[in-house]
Amino acid sequence: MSGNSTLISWTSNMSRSPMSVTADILGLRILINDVIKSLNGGQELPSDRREALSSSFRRYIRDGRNSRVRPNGLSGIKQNARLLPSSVVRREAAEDSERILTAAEHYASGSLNTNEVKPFVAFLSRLDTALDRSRSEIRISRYL
Amino acid sequence: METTARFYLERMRLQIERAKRSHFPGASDVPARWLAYIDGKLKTAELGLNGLKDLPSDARTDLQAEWLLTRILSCDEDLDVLARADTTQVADFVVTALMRWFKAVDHTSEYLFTSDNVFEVSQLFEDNLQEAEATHPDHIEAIRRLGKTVYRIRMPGGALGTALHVPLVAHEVGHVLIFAFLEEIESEIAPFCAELGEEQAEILTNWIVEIVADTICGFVAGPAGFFALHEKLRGNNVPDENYPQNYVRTSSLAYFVHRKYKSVFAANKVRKADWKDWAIRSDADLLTEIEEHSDYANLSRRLIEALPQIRDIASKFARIHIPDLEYLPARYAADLEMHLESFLFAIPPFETDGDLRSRKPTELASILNVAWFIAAFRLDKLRIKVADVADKKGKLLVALDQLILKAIELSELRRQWEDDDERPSTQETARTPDGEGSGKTSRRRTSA
Repeated sequence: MSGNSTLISWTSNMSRSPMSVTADILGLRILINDVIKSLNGGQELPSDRREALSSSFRRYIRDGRNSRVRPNGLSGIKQNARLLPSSVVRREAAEDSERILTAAEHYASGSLNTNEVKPFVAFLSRLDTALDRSRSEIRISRYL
Repeated sequence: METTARFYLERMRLQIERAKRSHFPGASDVPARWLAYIDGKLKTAELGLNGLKDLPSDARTDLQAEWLLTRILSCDEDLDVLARADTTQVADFVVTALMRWFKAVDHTSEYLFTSDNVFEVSQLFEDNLQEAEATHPDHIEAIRRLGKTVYRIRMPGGALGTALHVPLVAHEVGHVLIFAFLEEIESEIAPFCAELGEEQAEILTNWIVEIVADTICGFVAGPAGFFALHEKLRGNNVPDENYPQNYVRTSSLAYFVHRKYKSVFAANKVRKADWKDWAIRSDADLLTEIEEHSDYANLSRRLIEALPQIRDIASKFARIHIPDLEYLPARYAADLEMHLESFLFAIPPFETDGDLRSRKPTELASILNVAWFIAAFRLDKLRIKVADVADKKGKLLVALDQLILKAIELSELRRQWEDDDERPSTQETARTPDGEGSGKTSRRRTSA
């Protein structure tokens, strides 16, 4: 309801703050990096963390509500940067989203095929880079 | 980093304990669930911190160290939300009344009301956005308990808070309704954007959404919605990507209200001259005021020409999804007949008249509309003694504001007693977020 007399900014119109979104991105990157390391011959991750990756992807890719939230639909923010992690995952998955979701589900259940590993790791590496770059869309990036 | 993280963790725990001792409006237990969520996030962060010291220092640990600090700092921001949500910031009874509007729109979502300097609704929490790294069971459980969506409703508090502006919350009700049925409303809006490029279509859509939300505001809050909007949206008539000219919005809602409640205004002897303080432009005037060389001239013309259709779409949309919230002309007429005279004698309209046993608590929209009728057209008839004649109007408005709040408070008490009579087992004492009784005499509603 703020009307155009109100300064539109992240901080005044967002409940999910830049700090929270940054932490969301970093948290997802930690998980992705651990999965990559594990799939490259490292220690197997506990089942709850494997499931966390799968369920995150499922929510980010499949939940259509995210993609339909329009700027100004609710809070007047121009960019829905609070949705950054999910929009980056969706963008990187693009047409491969079903294949990636299947691979993530196989990974969570411990049934990832050998021929699925390489493309899945490639996707995760690409996603990690994209998530890192996406931080430039968030106003805060330094604490000093 | 570990020193800072450990310090912040302990500091945050103390802040959470302090927040647990605050009193929040009893209309929902969202504050308690929000605190549990912050607590859970801290526990996940602590698990991460404990695991970090065993790892070799590399890029991975740098990443984790930064995540820990940002996550802990975000907990501070989350706590700050609650600092504006206790009963010193938002009146318990106002929240209870407003909660009924929002629950009628989307009962599967939750709502947290906080004070601010603007009216705004935003998603505080969505289950599909949350932390992929949640590892502590309490964190995972807290996310589950928060549910689908928690909306944060911001409204002015403190010295800026006035009951006369409460009708504007109905505009935010409109936005929640739009979001709940986004596909449906988008399909109605799409034809207005025909032949426009993507960027222009997006701007026009944003503008139409605002007009729809304004119209829903009038649908729910009646003329009070217009008066409040007219008061708040003055000046700054330069459109931008998100909002059309303010005068387009106020004129649109004015037209809606005039047409819908025309007979009620006439029956209550509101003359044309009485509207002089509520300047309204006709659609033709609006078209002539477009700055032809501005970037938004074409879109402004499209919007103005479409206003009647947009209002019809909004009314139809609201009538389908929230028919019980419609403030009907017959209701307005009955409210004025029932409450206007006694309100002018400073008696807050908190219940219907008639036989004592059959009286009902007054609805929020009814209170607001009788009050705004006085503020707009009959303030000089309000029987309250004001010593300082020079500042009479301001003092009368403050008195009127207090009477509105008293009416809302008493009507909510009345409603609570009525509910308690019907369901004696639901009586509970007011609670602090950790679930302990406060010892206060007010009782908490178990449902909105």
